[in-house]
Amino acid sequence: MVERLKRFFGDDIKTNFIFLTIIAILYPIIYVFSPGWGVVLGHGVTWISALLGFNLLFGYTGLLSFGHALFLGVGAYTVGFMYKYLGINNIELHLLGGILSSTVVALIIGPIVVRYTRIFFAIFMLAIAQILWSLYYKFYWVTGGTDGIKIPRFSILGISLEKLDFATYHHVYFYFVTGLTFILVYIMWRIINSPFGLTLKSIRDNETRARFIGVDIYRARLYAFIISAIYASITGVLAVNHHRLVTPDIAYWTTSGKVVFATLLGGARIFIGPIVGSFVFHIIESFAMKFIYWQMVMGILIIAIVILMPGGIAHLARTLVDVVVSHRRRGG
Amino acid sequence: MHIAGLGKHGEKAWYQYKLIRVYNPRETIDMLEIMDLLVRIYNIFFGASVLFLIAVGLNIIYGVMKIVNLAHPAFFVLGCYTIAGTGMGVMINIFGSSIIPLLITPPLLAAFVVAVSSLLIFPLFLFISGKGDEVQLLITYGLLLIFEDIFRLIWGSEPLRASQPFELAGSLSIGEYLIPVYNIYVIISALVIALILWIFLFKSKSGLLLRASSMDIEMAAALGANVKKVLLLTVLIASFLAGLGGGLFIPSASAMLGMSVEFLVLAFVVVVIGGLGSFLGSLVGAFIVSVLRTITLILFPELELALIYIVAIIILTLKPEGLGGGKKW
Amino acid sequence: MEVLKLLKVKKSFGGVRALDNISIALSEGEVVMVIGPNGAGKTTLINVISGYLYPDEGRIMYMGEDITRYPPLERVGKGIVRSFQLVNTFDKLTVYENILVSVLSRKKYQYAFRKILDEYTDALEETENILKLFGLSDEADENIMSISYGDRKLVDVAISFALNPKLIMLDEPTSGVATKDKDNIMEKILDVIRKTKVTSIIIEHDMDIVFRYGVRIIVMHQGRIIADGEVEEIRKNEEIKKVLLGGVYA
Repeated sequence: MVERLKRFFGDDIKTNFIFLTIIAILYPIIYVFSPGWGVVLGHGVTWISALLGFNLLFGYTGLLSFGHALFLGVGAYTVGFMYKYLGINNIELHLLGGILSSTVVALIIGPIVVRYTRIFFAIFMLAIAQILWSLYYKFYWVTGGTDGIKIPRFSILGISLEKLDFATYHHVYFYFVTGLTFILVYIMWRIINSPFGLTLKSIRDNETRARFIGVDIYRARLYAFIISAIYASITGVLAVNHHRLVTPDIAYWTTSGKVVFATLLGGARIFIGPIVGSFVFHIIESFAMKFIYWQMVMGILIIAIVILMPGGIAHLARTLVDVVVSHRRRGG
Repeated sequence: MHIAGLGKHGEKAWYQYKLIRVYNPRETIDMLEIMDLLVRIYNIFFGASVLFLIAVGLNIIYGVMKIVNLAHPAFFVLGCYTIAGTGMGVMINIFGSSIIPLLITPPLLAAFVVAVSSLLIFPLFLFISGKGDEVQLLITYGLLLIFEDIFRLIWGSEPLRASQPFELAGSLSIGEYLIPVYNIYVIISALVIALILWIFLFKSKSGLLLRASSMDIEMAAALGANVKKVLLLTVLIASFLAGLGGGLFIPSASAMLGMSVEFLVLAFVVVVIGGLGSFLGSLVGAFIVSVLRTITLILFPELELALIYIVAIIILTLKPEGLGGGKKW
Repeated sequence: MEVLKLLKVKKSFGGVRALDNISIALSEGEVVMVIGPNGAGKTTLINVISGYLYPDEGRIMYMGEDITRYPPLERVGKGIVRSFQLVNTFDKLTVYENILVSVLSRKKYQYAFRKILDEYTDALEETENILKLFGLSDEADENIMSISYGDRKLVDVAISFALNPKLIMLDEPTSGVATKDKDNIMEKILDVIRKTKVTSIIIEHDMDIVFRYGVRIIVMHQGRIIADGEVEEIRKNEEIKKVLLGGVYA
């Protein structure tokens, strides 16, 4: 049989794993030279999950969400509540809690929003996220309002990290998250390369035809929505453990903007796009944060990317690889 | 206590906007008397006027260009900032405290500034018209982000006020209530604007051209319309209206960061309820949303936006084309 | 055995009768070509049978079952499949994936995510066979948008065939295709129909093609069936020819 399921550069799992491995190897070197940049890499690896989740909807299902901060917020506040009310600072339980609560939230709003596409889906998500964000403010006696909920360093498998110096603590955090990300990337890759993944792509490309080959498009979109929510909430759980503070900011619309921008930057529709995007985004951000008009920069870059390089960095890289490969073939 | 979307400094303006809470702190649900009801109805009209002025521009741009302009509420907020940050001071220098010019000139100035600014980004609109909605959403979203920071860049992050006309106009006392005269002025202005717009859209030649283009832009081109000109006219009208709205609204509130998104979320509900791209829908939608806000603010103030959205989703499910009658314009 | 039976089906839009008292019976393996001038109601006929539209009056029987009010998805499940007049494919996928997604859907794998595609060898093989059947093997790895329009039409039909239909309806499979390629495509499609013996309704605008390839022909005009019979009968009937010519060239 002819091998048809070829995967291009960036879509194969090998490239993704190699990229992550390189980051994992570079991290300690970078940290030695500059702890600040080490922390930036920490942010980068933390956000991969949310971007993968966002891209499952945007790049593979054709649903553009302007409200993914909603699920980051759900993950973050699950951690906050677990610590504040139950005294749990165990990160495995945080992750479990985040997955459960985001699934519940996705099951409540999903069946409604997946019936709408385009502008309606985009703004419904934005609105629901804003509603939840406002609740974090308004119910300050539960959520701590603007001051938020402070949480201590997490523990892994019952081992407390309180007594470690910051550098060691950060290394533990980084490698824990990187390990987790390997698993999350692998699972997401399998989902996108499964029959279900192909079904999602067919819905993205042609809803009507998908319906006529026997796909229940709402059902497929709902599944994608739930998976996306879980992935985003995992970043929420990790990010607040990294910052050790839960505030409504993580659920604000600018967080959603960050998710949209970082994915576009890396390249939607190519699997490695969000992974590259997460790191590049945080590197740009750490330069731009000194500049207080960072949102403006982000807005300008979004417009520039959409107009000038709609495929993002991953697409540029793929084109480059193609050129090199075909050049070598001709040469050989 | 903090209120949705208005940030830490928002409470005061928010109370101004929902006048009833400021002027009658003792109100409870069982105090619903006739006067009370009248004041509420008056508040509904004020809220609806403001929402109409934002939503109608959103609908006109969608109607003609098929673009959902996420940055449209930022036009409105630009109008607010223009007056609160700069314009009102200039006006007071010129006119002192004579009320009539202070009522009339700020909205016109805001409208002018916003319309001119929209010219600067018109090439972007040309670029995205006819493109897929993914591109349109992303680019106008980018604009929204840019606008928010431009406000910060020019006018800083503190809330700004321009309440002189509001204070000069004074208030009428009816029973135990104080009704600000300025808000009556806003309501009347919105009605006049709606009327002029209606005459323009339905009785003038340019209006006919706009409506024809909304049906089929290629057809309109074939019939000899200059498409670029039509699109330019659309963007100018929509931004003019948004600026006018911002200039009218700002004396009774404060301009602050994050307002664009707050109004985007509200204007979108108006559009969903009224029907996307419909003039009549903007009126109907603005009114319904204003009624809903007033009711939910009495009953469940914490869940205001959530309840409005639940109603919007119910309406969208039952009547996907909205309550504006479902027909175009 | 009768696969499809329409009993006095009526459908109007506003005041216009798109389908006026249509009764048709199709036995298993039969291939019918439907011809008629623009606005004769041909596409509406397919829309009504596939569940895109519900008729105002009348009944639709399929394998002895009344399916008049069944939603489209349920009809697809029962083996009633259609293609569209305009090419309707999945534009960012390859030719191979276009057909594979259809095969997977028929096998009820459309929501399966525990295994990756490479492990579904049965579906992959079947896709390969369909490609061969339609002569598309060489273009399998191309993006669907980069192949010729005629071939995209074939892929469109192949997507429908991948669903293993018992009744297939093709809405002008050669429309928009360059004249020189029309015969080629029609031949390929009819060849597949002959091999798979599936009951088919083919709408065709082009008289020459209908008379060249048709066996049983239904002529529609202004929402009514004005003739239903063997190709020779229709060819001889001057009245019908006049309607068709008048309709096509008026």
